[in-house]
Amino acid sequence: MNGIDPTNVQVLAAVLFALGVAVVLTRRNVFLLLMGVELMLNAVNLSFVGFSRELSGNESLWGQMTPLFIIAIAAAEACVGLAMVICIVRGRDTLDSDAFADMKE
Amino acid sequence: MKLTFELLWLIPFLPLLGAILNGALSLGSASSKRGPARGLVALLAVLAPGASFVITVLATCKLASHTEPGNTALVQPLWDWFAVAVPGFSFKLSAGLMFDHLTAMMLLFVTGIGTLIHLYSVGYMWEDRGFARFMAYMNFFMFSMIVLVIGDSLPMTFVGWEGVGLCSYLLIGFWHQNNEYNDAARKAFIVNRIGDLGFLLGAFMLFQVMSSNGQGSLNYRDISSWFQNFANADLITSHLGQIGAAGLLIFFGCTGKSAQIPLVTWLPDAMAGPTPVSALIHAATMVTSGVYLLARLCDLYAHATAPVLAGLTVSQVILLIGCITAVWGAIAGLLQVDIKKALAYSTVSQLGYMFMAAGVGAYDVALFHVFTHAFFKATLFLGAGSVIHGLHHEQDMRRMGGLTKLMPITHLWMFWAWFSIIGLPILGSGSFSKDLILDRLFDGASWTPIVGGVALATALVTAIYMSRVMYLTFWSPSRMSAETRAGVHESPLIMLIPISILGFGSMVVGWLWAPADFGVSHLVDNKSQHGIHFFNDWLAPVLGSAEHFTHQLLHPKGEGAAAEGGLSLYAMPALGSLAALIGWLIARAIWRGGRVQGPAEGEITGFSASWTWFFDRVYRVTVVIPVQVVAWILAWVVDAAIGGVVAGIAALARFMGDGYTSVQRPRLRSSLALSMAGVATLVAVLLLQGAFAWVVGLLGAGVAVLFLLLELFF
Amino acid sequence: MPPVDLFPLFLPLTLVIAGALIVLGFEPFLQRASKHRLLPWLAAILLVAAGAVQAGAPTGSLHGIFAMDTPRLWMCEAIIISTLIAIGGLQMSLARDDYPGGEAYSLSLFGAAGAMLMVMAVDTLALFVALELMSLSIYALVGMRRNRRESNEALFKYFVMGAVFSAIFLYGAALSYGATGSTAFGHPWRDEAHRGLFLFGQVLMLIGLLFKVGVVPFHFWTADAYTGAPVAVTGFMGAVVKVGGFAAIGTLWLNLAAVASGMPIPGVLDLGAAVTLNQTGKDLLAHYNLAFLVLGLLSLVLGNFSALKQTSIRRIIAFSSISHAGYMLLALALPIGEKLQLGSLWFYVVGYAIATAGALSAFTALAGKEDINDNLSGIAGQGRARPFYGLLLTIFLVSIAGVPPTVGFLGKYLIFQDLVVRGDVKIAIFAMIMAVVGAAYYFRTLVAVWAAPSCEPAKAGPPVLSGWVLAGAAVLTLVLIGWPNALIRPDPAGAANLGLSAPAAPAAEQAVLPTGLATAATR
Repeated sequence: MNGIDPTNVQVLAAVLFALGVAVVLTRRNVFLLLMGVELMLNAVNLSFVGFSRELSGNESLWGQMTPLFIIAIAAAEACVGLAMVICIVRGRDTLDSDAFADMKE
Repeated sequence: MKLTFELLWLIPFLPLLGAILNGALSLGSASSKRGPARGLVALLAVLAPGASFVITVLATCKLASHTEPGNTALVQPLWDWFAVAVPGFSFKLSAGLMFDHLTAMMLLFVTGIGTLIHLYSVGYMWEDRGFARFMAYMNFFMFSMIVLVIGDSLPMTFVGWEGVGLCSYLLIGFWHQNNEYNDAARKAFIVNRIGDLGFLLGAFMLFQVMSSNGQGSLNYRDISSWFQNFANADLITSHLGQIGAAGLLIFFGCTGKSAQIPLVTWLPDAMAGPTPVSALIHAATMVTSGVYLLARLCDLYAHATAPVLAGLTVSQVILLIGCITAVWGAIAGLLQVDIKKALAYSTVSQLGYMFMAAGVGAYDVALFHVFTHAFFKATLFLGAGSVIHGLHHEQDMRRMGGLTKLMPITHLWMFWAWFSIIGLPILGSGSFSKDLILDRLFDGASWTPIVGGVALATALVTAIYMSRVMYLTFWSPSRMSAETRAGVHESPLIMLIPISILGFGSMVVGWLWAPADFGVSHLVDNKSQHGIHFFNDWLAPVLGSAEHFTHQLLHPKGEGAAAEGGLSLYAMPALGSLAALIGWLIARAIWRGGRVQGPAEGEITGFSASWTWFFDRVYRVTVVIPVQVVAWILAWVVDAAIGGVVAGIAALARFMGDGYTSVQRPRLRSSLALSMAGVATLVAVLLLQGAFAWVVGLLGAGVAVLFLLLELFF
Repeated sequence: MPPVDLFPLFLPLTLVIAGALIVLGFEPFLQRASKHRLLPWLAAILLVAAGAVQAGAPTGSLHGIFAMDTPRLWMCEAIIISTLIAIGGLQMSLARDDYPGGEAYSLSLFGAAGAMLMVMAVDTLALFVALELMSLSIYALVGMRRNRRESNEALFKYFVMGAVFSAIFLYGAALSYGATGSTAFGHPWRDEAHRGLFLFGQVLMLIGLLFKVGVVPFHFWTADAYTGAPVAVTGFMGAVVKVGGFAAIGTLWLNLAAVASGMPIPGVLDLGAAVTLNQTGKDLLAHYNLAFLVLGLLSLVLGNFSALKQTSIRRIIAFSSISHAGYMLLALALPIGEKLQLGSLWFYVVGYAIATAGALSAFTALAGKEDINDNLSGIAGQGRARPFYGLLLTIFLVSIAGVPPTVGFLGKYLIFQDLVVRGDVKIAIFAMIMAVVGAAYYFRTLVAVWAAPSCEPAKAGPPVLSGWVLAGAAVLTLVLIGWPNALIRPDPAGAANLGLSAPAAPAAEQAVLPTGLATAATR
């Protein structure tokens, strides 16, 4: 349908997801960490939508509906996350995640 | 036949509730200056066992109203505990209550006398700082004791068995500021625990025997019907050794709880606790639980007819142990100067009588003595407590005397209890039960009449030492200083009421079973049967089968049965009364002047002070010293090596702790990376099958370890 | 499972959420002091109502999205009780610290609602929403002391890792959806080509959930989040997250087992039911089994030995919670016979939740202002100064340690019994040794609690609510041991409602009580 191979959609989603993981693992800036997480969630959305194109009828519907929930929850998560960043920056004056490592053992 | 009675659970539950509420009151007021509201505590503490007593009476009425032949019982299953299942073996344990004739009889006096002693304790402990705590312990003891007798299976009984042991420990060490008392408490607990081991092993062994035809159960009704079932006769014969061993082990448990040789040493020391405790736990109820258990398992003991120890059957072992303990306790009682210790040894001796009766298969007689003993010994202890209370915690009989006029009511009931314990007839319940025991002993086979002779001689000694106690306390010239004498007072009413009720009880309860009735029953109705047999008729549904079995073994040709009657009935009462009279006269001759052998003041040490001395020495030689020697060897020879090993283990634990906690990385990136390595490994292992998965898994773990090392060192 | 109406199924949940909203609505209009006097009681009343209603909740499934059965009912009750305990602890702690806001009560109710939904969810989408509702509330609770550095740090670590693993869970859900065409649990893969995709998705979902319950190697957040949170919150999250997480893991695992064994029409599985496995399914799941055992043992070793070294009570509890996740994971392992039944897991989870929430809530009373006494030397002798809470803490810790006569003992016993019956005797023995190692640090804590006092008794806020709730929970810890069968008995009705076409096992076999017997019988 319309020439896009569903497999390619999935590959793209997987690559996006891996990129998100890579961002979370390698970047130290707190905002970039949150962006990495968002990237992962969006990769999941893409994957859901891609699968819903493969399926039909009721089955297809689930794949389109789920991303809506995910988007809403991601927004809530971002709220908590950003509030957290404000708290942290107040206490430590830095956005470097490696600086938040006082708790040992 | 099983009947249901919905209120049965309340009998143990109410004292438990009392214990919880009083415990909460005690804890809640721990930090307050005034302490708990004593009135409320007292009310709760006395009402709880009192209500249990009322329900027990109701249950007994219901039980008595069913007169069908056979073993009737009120039962109340509570819940399925849980099931043990390993391959080839399964066993379901359920918790339930059972109220049959034996339970009824035990519970009536446990809750009845218990309530009275609670009432007495209110007066005795009112001033004590730990009043609420004491009452909570007492209530919890009532709960445990009730569970012990109302439980429908050995595990349920064991729950109560442990509970009373615990309460005994808590109450002996109640005044825990005193280290000596703590040691006594610990001794009681440890000695009891040794006995408990026997209980458990015996129960397991019994279960194993019964499992041999797939009917393994620890429920009392199942156990007795298993032994009574003729179909199991061959099985019983082929397992006689095991059955005997099980019986012996359980009896060993009973010696712990009932302070028989060899586990006797704790009871005299246990007198460290407050006097109501001695009355309730160490005279009237807990120490009789050993006899209860023997009676409960009477079918087991009746069928254990093979020699298990030095050519003796279990019952013969019980008989001998009881006999030795009775003699030993009586002689030890002669030498005490502490009034409570004298009574404690007397308890040991009387328990010996009960075990003698159980040893010849006369379980109903044993229980009858339990019953009468509970009355007169509780009276004696409460009276002694009243004396101690009146003399401001003086327990040494060398500093008493002449109290008859000063404490008339206490003396009155102490007198009747004395009358009962030494075995004077008609108005002493002890004479009825003791004469029955003597009768059964003389009636027995081969050498049991010799034991009967020893028991009769012991009755004489009993009369001597009990009269000694009465002379030294009441009937001799006062040896108190003038100011002590001025301070002596009769106890408050709340203590005198229980003493009076129990003392009156000890005068009359013997008439529940009076084969030698002195013509009384003929006055009431002119039956052909001799005497009053209410007590043994009541217990017959539970004990009858086992006693019949034993009787058949003793008198295979049917002789001897129902030979009672006429003059022979009065032979034992006459002999017993004679012994009591002679004993009394001997005591009168020696102690009328109030002279006490031994030093007039200070601690008495050695053999004459504590007759557990001998057993303490035996334990010392056989247990403590070897342990000390081994410890010495360990200390000097192996210490270095052990120390090295211990240090090594500690170091290893620390090293491992360090190692494992070093996995805990403080930086988010590091821990996230480790987690991701875990994710990758797990995905690979789970999705790739076969050897390849292992390679990938190890690879992933290797990467994680490598990463960790890099993190740690660079 | 029979269909069930929306209203009776969700009534307890509605009460909990209504409580959260009412508390949230009242909060701004109250004086600071009266916030901690009024709001906890409001929350507690609604929770008690929810608990009462929950006890009579109907069993069945709602449109194949949510379900209720006996184990789920017990777990929901455990969540409600744990939350009630936590509210009592929070009240003591926040009133003592004169904390300026009352949002914590509302947040814990939302967290409880999320956990209850997790327990009831039988659909990945529903599960995800529930998981996030619970997680977001708990993130906020962990970071509640906004001006404390370690609190912020704990929140940061927990939040970022949590978000990443939520994404992993979701990706797994997406892949499973692609492979089955449904977000519901228990759908088989569409065709053989999609089997690998399905399994991949299931593994990712499983990992996301294993993270939530803190299994090695996904446990790194545990120690920091537990330590950074206020003590009362630590108990709450320790209890509620474990219940929700293991309910979800159990649901997933039972469904996976049924699907892998090729049971044709997926219905909604009763958590108390015994799932019938065949050889195909067992082969397919053999590696999962192994993974559970390996991860379980790793968690046991790492959790216990790390805890030995700690001096902070919260950190001890954190590492001990890792080890307990290990025990629970061992309870998931496959049987030798054909029946997979998770009764011992449910019993363990329920007992553990109540005891953990209770222990930390009781500890709150001893912990002092801003939880300053949170180490073994700080708590020394506090039990003597406040014997009531000391005694409660003792009961709960003894239960967590698994010493009779507490519910924790029976939980461990049942799991070990299952292991032995299954033939994993060595693992059972190893787990028992680890339980002994674990007992060492619990008793070390208790010795400190009852040691000679070294400092002043800790102050605490109004103790009425927490006192009553904790005493009730302590009684529950002691008496629940009497009714294990309520959870470990395979519900005959539930088994019949599997919706599986395989012939149902004979009734006699299902009436048999523990899982052990069933497997022993089939051997």
